[in-house]
Amino acid sequence: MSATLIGQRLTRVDGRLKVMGQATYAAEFARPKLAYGVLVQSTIANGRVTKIDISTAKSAPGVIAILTRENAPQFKPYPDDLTKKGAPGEDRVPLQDAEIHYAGQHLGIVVAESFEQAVHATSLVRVTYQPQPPVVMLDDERVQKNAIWPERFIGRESLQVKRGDINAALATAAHKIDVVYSTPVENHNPIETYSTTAEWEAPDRLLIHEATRGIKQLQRIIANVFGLPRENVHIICPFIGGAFGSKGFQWSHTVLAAAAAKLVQRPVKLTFTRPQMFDSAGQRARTEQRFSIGADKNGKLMALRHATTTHCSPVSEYTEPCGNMSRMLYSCPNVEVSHRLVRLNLTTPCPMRAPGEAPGVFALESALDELANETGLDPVEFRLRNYADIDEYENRPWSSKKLRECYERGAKKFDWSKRTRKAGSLRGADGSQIGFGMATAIYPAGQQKAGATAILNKDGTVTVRSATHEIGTGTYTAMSQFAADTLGIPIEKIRFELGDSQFPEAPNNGGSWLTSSVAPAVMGACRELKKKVVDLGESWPNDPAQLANLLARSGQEQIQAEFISEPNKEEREKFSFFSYGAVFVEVHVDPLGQVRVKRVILILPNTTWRCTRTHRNLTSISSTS
Amino acid sequence: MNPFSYSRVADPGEAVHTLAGKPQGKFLGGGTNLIDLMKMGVETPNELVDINRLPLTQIEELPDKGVRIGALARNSDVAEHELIKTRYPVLSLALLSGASPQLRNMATVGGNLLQRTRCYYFYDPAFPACNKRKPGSGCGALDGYNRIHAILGQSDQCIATHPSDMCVALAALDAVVRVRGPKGEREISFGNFHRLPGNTPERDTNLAPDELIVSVDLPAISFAARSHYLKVRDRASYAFALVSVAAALDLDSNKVKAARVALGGVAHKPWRAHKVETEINGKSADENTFRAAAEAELAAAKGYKYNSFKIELAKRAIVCALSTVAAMA
Amino acid sequence: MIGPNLLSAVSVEGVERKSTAGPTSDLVNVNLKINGTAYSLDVDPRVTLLDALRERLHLTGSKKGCDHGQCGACTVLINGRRINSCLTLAVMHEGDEITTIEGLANGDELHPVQAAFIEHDGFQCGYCTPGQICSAVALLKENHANSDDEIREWMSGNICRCGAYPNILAAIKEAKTKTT
Ligand SMILES: Cc1cc2nc3c(=O)[nH]c(=O)nc-3n(C[C@H](O)[C@H](O)[C@H](O)COP(=O)(O)OP(=O)(O)OC[C@H]3O[C@@H](n4cnc5c(N)ncnc54)[C@H](O)[C@@H]3O)c2cc1C
Ligand code: FES
Ligand code: FES
Repeated sequence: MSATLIGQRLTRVDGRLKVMGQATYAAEFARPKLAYGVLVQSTIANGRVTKIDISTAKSAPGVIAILTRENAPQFKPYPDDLTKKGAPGEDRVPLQDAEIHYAGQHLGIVVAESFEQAVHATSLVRVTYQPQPPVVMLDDERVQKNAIWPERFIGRESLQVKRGDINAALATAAHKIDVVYSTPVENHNPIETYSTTAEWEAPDRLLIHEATRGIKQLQRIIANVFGLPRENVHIICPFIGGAFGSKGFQWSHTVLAAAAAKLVQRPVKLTFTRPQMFDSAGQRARTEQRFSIGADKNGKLMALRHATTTHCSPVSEYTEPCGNMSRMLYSCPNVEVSHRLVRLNLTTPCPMRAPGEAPGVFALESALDELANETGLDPVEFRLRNYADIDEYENRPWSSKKLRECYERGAKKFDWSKRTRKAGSLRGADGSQIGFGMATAIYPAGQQKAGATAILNKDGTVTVRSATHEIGTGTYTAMSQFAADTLGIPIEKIRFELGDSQFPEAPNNGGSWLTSSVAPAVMGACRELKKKVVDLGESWPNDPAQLANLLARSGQEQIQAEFISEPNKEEREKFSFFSYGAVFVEVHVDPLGQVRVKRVILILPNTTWRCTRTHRNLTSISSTS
Repeated sequence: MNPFSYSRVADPGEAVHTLAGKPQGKFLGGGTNLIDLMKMGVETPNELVDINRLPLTQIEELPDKGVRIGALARNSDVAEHELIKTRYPVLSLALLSGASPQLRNMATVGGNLLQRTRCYYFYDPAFPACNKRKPGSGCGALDGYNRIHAILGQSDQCIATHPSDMCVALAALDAVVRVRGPKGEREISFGNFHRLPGNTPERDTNLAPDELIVSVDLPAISFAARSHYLKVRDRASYAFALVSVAAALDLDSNKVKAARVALGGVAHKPWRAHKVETEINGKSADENTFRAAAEAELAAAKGYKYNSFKIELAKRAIVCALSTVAAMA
Repeated sequence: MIGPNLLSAVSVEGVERKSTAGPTSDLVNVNLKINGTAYSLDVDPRVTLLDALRERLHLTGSKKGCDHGQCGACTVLINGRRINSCLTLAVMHEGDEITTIEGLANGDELHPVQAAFIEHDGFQCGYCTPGQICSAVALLKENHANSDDEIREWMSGNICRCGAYPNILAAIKEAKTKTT
């Protein structure tokens, strides 16, 4: 094999397309006879629709059709596994009843010749309601008695956990605190909004261009809803303008666009407005997290209770798993983690820039700082004293953990020793108060089943395909590198293709598992390809010209190999897999209350990076002033 | 967006003539506020008269050493003009603190004067209550999320704020708005241009619908060269003011001879801080003087559930802005 | 290597070079000069310049991020000045010279700002990128790139939700050395 490309400073293989405006996102595929769809949405948050009057809208210029509950087909339900067990996304298909569960709920779609006409006609649709007072606050008394105590996060991790005797430990703790942190609703707002262009290529064949980081999942969802064989639904998405947790799971817009396309017998494009990004397809739920934690006089954690209250919508039971990391991030004999869910008339929550680990670790780390302060210990020292050498929840060793080294390197690099202990004691020349803070970063290191094909082409180049996604994290580049490295040919001779449901299965892009899942499949397919060539009685030349000759000699048009990779179950059960880091920040607050983050340093363990240029982009945080 | 007819006009007379007696029609300047509001369904004109080609882009010195700014001068051009930068830095700074470079290239002086409030309840017709949008429907902000709302001069009909930065500087500078209507030209002093909400919050200004703004005249103010604009907002740039202060000081050694102060983000109109001006007159230009004056100005302020922080913030901002100006060479 | 077949814009018949009948009756004729090519369009006056570019002319390099002037993804140059094409109507630009991201490169040769964005990885998802680049081209011309803080302030009209700001800053600084 030639010198490895992994870790080299390559530029992105799709960089040229992106800087020239040639990368095509979901809304940018011109289709013949395209019509435009615009959503009709509920303006109340709870109640029933009594009437949708489309008489004026129907006759507005350019209107082709209006789809509402009146003329909607009977959709089949979403796939079972996506609607059970607190999975994210909505449980119910749209337009099947008159119930309103939250403001902005989709009540129909207006299709017109032009976007402007569709927007105008939508404003002419008159909806009458029978409203009910909505419940939108976590502490609203009306929903407390029906609160849910969900057992598991999407059928996986336990959300109600007890270890040891928390009450006894709290009662005897030398230092303790009892604090509540709340985090607001957070919206993903990738800069590209959702967009779907649906068209029926035949009465039973559907082509969809959509901004999705779950191509295969969406294919399954749509096939189910319209009762089609999965292979009859073709999803294409070569580029995604950011997702951050959105653009996955089941939401009603894809169904509405496809149903509208069927109704008008033309391709229909439906693109969310920016306001619709706040009410139409997921957001992070509000959370309220109460901590009761206690330590002994040496600053050793004795008790940690992390009780989360959060909300779901009336049409989903997804739970923000805020307490998951509290189970094991620190060593503590007595732990209680609980999650309580109330149903609110708010847009259905889903993960946003990671599921509940994000607000959960924010709160845990803040609480830890408060307790460190209470015990009179430096926050870094406090964390070191409570370092977990094994996963005390699973009672397993870590697959690897170099967190101690992260703390130490970070503290040194940041000049942490310059921090003064007393709150408000550090002042800048302009009268600003200066704060130094630090926190632990942690996230599960996951892996999923994935497949890829590798094809040796006539000209000696290799095409590699997988139904994975490019949301900006550099999939095209990274996978091209893995393929080039495995095959020993220049990266320019690799063509990596993704974003097509006809390619081999790949997981949703999320959970930080894309590379760990798809790379093994890509490398596997490339190894299989090499094997096939060797089986022809030829050795594998690290040279495209020779590969072209070899293919010509074999008399084949192309040679194709496939590989499916799966996580090593045994390994996964032996160890606990997490990635770690330590973050240090300097924040200034001036006399006008203006907050400026002056420095952020994120220390990650030394590892090999796919492409250090992209890696720098994904992790570096600038100082602003 | 509702359908509308569109026409382009070449001179001010034609513009006024085209819209005369048509309250449903609107002049189209840079479009950055009007088109936005039309997309939201808040503004629904049936006719747009595009005034972008009118020869009203001049920025020129007047015989009395004041400066005349044409209504079609773009915000970026005004901000970067030598006359403005040297004689009225507060105006240049106010403009540069507003919106973004792209928007400032589009926005006109006339349009900026008439930009409408960013109150959430006004901006989204899905909210049923807004007296400004629909007289008599109520005020959603009173008991709603009112973080960006007014603390001075509001009424129980409306607690919206005027969002412009430029206008805060113009209020401090005693600008005069020259307008032309079907009956000819007239001048409106800046203090009389925008209105407090009272019982007619639907009316932002005293301009008639068929009147065209032709220019804004700045009087000669020698000490305006010693001026500053301070804007406090939720992020470092590209955000509207929570509170802002335009300030100019005439100092005799360390004594205040004259002052011009106006506040933004606190009221339905750019708020001329007359009390601050009188309070500090003749006193030594120091923090104590400024703080006492700020207290006097804000004595009548009233906060709501989410915006009471603005009262203390406005006081500190006044002190900070005046101190900055006092420290200028 | 990423080739054109799947990834670049699908070209389509009916791209409007000449005036064509559109969907409504009250169409207004407008002549636009985009990237050096003259277009005569009959458009509904409600069509924004951005939608004219994307939906009528299939010049999809200019992006729609918010449609309300709040993100900068739609930034184009009009007679050399940067503006948000989502808050201006196509009919307002009779005779104007419009430059979009598609018009910056000289054939195969990238504009120095484009090259610097690749070199410094000034993007992740790439959706804000055309707007960032158009804005940066204008910024350099305006001479507003004389310090890091000045660049940050004068690029603040372009939001990058992926947060590639440090690399965007680095790219602009390098482009400045190449263009001046
Ligand atoms: C995202 C965003 C952020 C912004 N941030 C700020 C900010 O921080 N600070 C700030 O001050 N502003 C800000 N603005 C507002 C901006 O300054 C205004 O939109 C702009 O000044 C309006 O000018 P225009 O020429 O585009 O007006 P238009 O939108 O064309 O017109 C506005 C109104 O004025 C009328 N009109 C225009 N010209 C005349 C005339 N000559 N005579 C009579 N009537 C006329 C129109 O009929 C219309 O009713 C922001 C805007 C946006 C979109
Ligand atoms: S799309 Fe124009 S500024 Fe966002
Ligand atoms: S690169 Fe994704 S928003 Fe900027």
